[in-house]
Amino acid sequence: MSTDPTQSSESDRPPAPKRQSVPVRLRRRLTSWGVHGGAIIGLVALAIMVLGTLYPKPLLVIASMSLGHALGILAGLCYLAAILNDIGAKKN
Amino acid sequence: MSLVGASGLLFAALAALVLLRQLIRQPPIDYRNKLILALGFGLFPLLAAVFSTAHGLKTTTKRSFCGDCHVMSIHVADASDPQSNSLAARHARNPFFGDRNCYVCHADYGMLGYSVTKLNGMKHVLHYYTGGYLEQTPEQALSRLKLYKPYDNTNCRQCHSGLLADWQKVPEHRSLKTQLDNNDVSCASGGCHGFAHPFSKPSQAMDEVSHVH
Repeated sequence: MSTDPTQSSESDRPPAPKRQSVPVRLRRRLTSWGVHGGAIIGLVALAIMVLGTLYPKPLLVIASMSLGHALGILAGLCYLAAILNDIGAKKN
Repeated sequence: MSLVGASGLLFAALAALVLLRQLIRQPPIDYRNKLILALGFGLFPLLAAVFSTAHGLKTTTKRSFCGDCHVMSIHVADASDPQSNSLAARHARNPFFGDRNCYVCHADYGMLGYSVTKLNGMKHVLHYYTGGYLEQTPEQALSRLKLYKPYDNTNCRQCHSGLLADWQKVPEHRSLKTQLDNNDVSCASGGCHGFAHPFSKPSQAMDEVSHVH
């Protein structure tokens, strides 16, 4: 009895990509959001600091040294959280 | 733009490049990219903050910065006037004071002087925006402008120590030594070296002048 050469057996098929569980996919997405959100916040912080340097008027200098720094720290924390989240996702 | 300010801008630009690359090209967050992002989120912004803060703090000591609040424009114009004989203007013509003359005279020289001076500067800004000064002309605001505490002779003594023979030869200096030390008599008073900003207190100036004569 001959077999149809066009029909491949189960063992010949390439293995299906391993489907990630929902928590892992969510964590990966959170990493991406953290980095992108942090980048946007970081760019706003940098813009405020640059404005304070280029146009040193009282309010801009104060904003540069307070709001600019606070947003910069927040951006750094977003990145840190994203990376820690990524490491956690890989461990799982 | 000073070298410090330019350095701040350079590091801010480098950080912005890294962050924009991540937002636009969206490379995968692998080990190499994490290191690049660490520069964009950490090192470059940190250096940008350090240099921009140093530049900002230096800028806040300039006369033009003080003059940004319009109610100070009369003081700034007088200090910048090469023909003015006010105490402030005469000191501003000295290169040691130069375009930082407001700060050099009004800084607090105590142990925490720099921080205290900056905090008082913040109070000035707060009062400027919330105290109704915005609606007033410089002339209208002139009588409202006051120091938080009497001007400290210690500030004068950063340069005029009072230890040299020439200073001690002046009879008024000798007789008022205790009061000067205790800040009971101001060096910058009508009967002594004159008000630093005489136009700001014409009535007091006239009183003291008439009292002396």
